[in-house]
Amino acid sequence: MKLVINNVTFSYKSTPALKGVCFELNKGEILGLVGPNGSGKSTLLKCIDGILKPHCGAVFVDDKSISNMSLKEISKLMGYVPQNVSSTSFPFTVFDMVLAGRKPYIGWSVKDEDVSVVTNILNYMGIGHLATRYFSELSGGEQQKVIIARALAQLPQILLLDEPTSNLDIRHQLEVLQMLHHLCKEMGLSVVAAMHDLNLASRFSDKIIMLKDGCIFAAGAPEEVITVENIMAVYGVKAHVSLTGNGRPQVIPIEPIDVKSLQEIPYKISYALGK
Amino acid sequence: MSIKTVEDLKQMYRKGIKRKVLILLSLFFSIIVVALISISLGAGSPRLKEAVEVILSKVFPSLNIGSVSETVRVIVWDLRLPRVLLAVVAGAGLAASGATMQGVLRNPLVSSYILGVSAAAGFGAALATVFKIGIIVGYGKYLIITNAFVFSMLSMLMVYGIARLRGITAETIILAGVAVGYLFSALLSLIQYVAPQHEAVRAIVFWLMGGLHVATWESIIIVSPIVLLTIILMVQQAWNINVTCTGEDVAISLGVNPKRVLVLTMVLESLATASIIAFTGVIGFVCLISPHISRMLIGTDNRFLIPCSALMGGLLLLCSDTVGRLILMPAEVPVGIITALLGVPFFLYILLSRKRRIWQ
Repeated sequence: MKLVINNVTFSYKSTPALKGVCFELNKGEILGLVGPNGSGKSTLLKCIDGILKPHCGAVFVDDKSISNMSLKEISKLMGYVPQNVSSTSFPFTVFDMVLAGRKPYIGWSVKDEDVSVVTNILNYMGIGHLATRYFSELSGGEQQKVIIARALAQLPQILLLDEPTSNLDIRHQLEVLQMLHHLCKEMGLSVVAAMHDLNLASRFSDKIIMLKDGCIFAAGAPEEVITVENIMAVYGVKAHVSLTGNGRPQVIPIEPIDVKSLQEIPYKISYALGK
Repeated sequence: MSIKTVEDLKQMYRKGIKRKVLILLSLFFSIIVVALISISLGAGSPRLKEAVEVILSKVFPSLNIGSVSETVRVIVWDLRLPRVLLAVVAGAGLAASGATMQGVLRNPLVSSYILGVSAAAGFGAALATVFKIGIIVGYGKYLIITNAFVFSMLSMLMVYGIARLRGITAETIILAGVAVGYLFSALLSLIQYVAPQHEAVRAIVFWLMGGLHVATWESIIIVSPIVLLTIILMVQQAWNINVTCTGEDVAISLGVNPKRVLVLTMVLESLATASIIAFTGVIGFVCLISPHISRMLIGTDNRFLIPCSALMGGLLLLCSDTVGRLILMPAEVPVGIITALLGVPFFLYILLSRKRRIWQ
């Protein structure tokens, strides 16, 4: 399963969000998408999954353009894990929530096979004991696992995740990312994950793409992308980068550059408070 | 914290399904029992046995059960039975519509009147009552019925048109529905204000309260097939509604086009609601609380929630109408008043006796 993104361009009304993004991803690889807020990470994920239609360019899975596929066909190829997990307004049980991931395969009645798939995935994720609990009553980390389980129940070959670790404690962060790593290496899934944490991205990704203003600013192996210069140019942050034991870069952010405007902040605050 | 095996979970799931089917069946039989009791209560009070005999002899004419007087026959077959049936059908259609719309619009405050259907129907009925103006040619009560129906569908089309300009999402539909609803209630107030005859205004107010006293076999024959068909189609959409519940982006990623689901359910909901209230007037509240009560009983899976809401709505409206018929005999209390008076305490009881939150 090979994912090819060719010249994908998208705008919200007249505000461009993606400008000619191209990359390729092979079976069993993890791609980390990094970049500041508003750099186009979420938009890119949605364009890949066909949630948003790119204005030009195309997404190919094994040389087949997804614009020629039905939503159902795409849903059997790709699973999507949104950024904001608790968006339902009615009380679903964990089991029903994950069962929804079987939608592409279900006619109307639920077959034994669907129940087995859901159960196996729940157990694989270590949340089998939560099956009858209500989704809204779970912790953030558990909820995130349930949403990933739902995407896995689609039996996808490509998994798209929008900041899968942003609301999690360090233990859940590592658990979720190790699970994704395992899925890639053992099951041959391809993963595209938008991430804010540069250290987690560099540690768990095979490739990293750094986006800036809807364009790819840098792409390649973590040690090629996560550099002092790139972080300065893309985030406007002075940082210290060192290599860990396994050769992955580790970032210690120091301070934002453009200090002049920062010095005005105390003045602006006191002005706003009328002092 | 034992990890459940595949067999455990499978069994649990099957058990859950069985429980849900059992709830549906018991609701269904409750309706039959309450319907028979309701037929045998009120003026002329035929006994339960006589009521059953009349119905059996009409349904199976070859059976020769002929010991019941003609008066009882007329009361049971021509007066009570249509009324009881209309209560069940109307309650079922309104409640199923309410459940469907709450689901696709992801909003617990939504009822089947969210698309402005009730105000528009009221406006249509008022036009017919006061000015005898109709869209489709008709006389007397038919003018009111066709007008109410046509304007309900018109309001749905307006909501669709407005929402389409902005992109069809739950938010645009809700807001457009509220706006269109206000527009039609303003027009309705205008008619009431300028109406030259007091009787006409009174008639409008009475119509707006809603009631099942209009029940005839004719209304049953027109309304039942529409309601039955739309409910079946709603249940058929259950998985799409389940998935749309989880948000529009996720729905697409699960292979469902949420816009198509929204439009389809809007059409079904409006058809059911409009055809019911064209006959009965605006019967409120059933369509709002039946889905909530059902959700607490049977869960959020729309495959079971929609039929459960329908049965619950039918049962609630039947009980309310029976009470409304009897409580101030020989006068009748409009069913809308009774539904709220009976339904609110019942709803609050269920709400407060549950520990779980109903929605997030």
